Amino acid sequence: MSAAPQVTLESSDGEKFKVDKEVAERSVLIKNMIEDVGESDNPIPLPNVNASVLKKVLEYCEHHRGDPLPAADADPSNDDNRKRATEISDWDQKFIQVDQEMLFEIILAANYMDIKPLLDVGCKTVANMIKGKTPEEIRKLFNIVNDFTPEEEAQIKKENEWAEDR
Amino acid sequence: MVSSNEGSPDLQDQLPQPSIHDLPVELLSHIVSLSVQEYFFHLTRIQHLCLVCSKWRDVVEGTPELWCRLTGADPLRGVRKAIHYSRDYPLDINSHFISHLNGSHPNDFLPAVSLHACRWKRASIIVGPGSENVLQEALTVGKAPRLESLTITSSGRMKTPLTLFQGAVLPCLRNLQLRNAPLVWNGEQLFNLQKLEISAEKQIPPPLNDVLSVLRVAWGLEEFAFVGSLSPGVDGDSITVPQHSILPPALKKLRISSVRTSSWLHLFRTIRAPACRRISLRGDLFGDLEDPNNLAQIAEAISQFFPCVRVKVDWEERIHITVGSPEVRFSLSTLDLEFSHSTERLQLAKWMILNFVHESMEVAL
Repeated sequence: MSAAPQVTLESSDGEKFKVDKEVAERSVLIKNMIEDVGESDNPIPLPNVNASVLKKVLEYCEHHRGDPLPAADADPSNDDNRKRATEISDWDQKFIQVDQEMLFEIILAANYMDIKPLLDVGCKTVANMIKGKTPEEIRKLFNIVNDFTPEEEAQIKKENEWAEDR
Repeated sequence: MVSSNEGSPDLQDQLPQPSIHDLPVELLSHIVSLSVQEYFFHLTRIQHLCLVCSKWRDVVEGTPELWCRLTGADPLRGVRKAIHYSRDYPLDINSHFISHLNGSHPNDFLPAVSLHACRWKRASIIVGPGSENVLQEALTVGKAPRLESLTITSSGRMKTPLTLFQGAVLPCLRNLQLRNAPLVWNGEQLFNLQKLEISAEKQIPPPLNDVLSVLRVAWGLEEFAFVGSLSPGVDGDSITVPQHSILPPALKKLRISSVRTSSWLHLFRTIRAPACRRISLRGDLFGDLEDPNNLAQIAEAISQFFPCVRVKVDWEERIHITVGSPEVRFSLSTLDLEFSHSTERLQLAKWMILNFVHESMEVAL
């Protein structure tokens, strides 16, 4: 039995990862690059993804290597889709239990490498962190500076009176 | 996975760590959208997120998709703001009178959103007592060329039939569900339906021919459900069954439930549905089965038709016939039928229709 074809990926900090082509092709970016360039022994450079993040991304791709490719976007206005909007499988939940910096790194990498299911897991995780929190709690959670001037804030609060007490 | 490190391990430490504000605007907007989808007070929650910082306010106010779901649970000022920020995007209208208790009054909400009927994509409206006139007016303000799904439920007994969107053609409407909401039926207006569900238990029964006017032109209809009874046509005392059968070629699922009347039979025998794979019928037959001998004959005939059926007579002399798991029950005064799913039961339904209807017409299933 012949070994599965492999490709080499090179992170932004120069680390090389040899992985099965099937695993690497979970990334649409890499799949397209392989199709464009053809079979080659040269490493595929990923200048926007560092080694620690790429390792994590490849762990995800390895686990989901046999999964069907994602379908077209479901209609979010559908009630069932709305209820499922932020559901995450058990394995993915454990996988994404990382610190905030790594979480955003993974989202950015998934966006750059065009791995939609991983991007979904990352976005859903952040969305779940936001749910139920007040603006102040959100600021604190993500270390966001309230950059409204007192006048602006007063103006916004006046405009938003209808949304108060809910 | 094999890795080899030829790069600088210190490089990563020198780079700034990303934060939520390093995400592209379209991702932040997507995340915000995911975070508010399950909220009952949808618009109110979106408005709260505007208060986080100026970037979040810009993202939220600059994402029309976030403002497209308008519910009666949100205050009218919020609804008006959402109509503005959603620009020309299709609207999802949800007006359930109970949800208005803490939000805008339906008498305000429906007129406000009806001015933008041309943007409606989905609408689900439940009206309570006293709001029927408001609904009537709201549905006649404008046309709704983008409407794909419409559900109207009345908790009371509506007296006046609704005219949908000035009677104009609804070219995108695929799904129409009416629960105790009488309609001025116009087949041409609803020609593109894929799913039609009529529940007319509390309302004045719709005329058979009006319902058939839709079935006659909706060639893409895949599901049809009717619960209730049908009324005679305007020209006669009895229900007029059309001479020609109606053939919805795409119909896959048919459900008719019409207890205490035999109107289901008139509807059922009119429909030929060669592609139909799921049929569920529930209804009463009057008069035909009063003779116990007739019942015995029916049982015997069904036994011949389906050798595997089990036939038994209980102590009240009711004949029980079982085909598959659900039972087909006969009683002396009425016939209570339930068929579904399997080929056997479809065939049984065909047999029943062919044998019980006085003016027997061929029914193709």
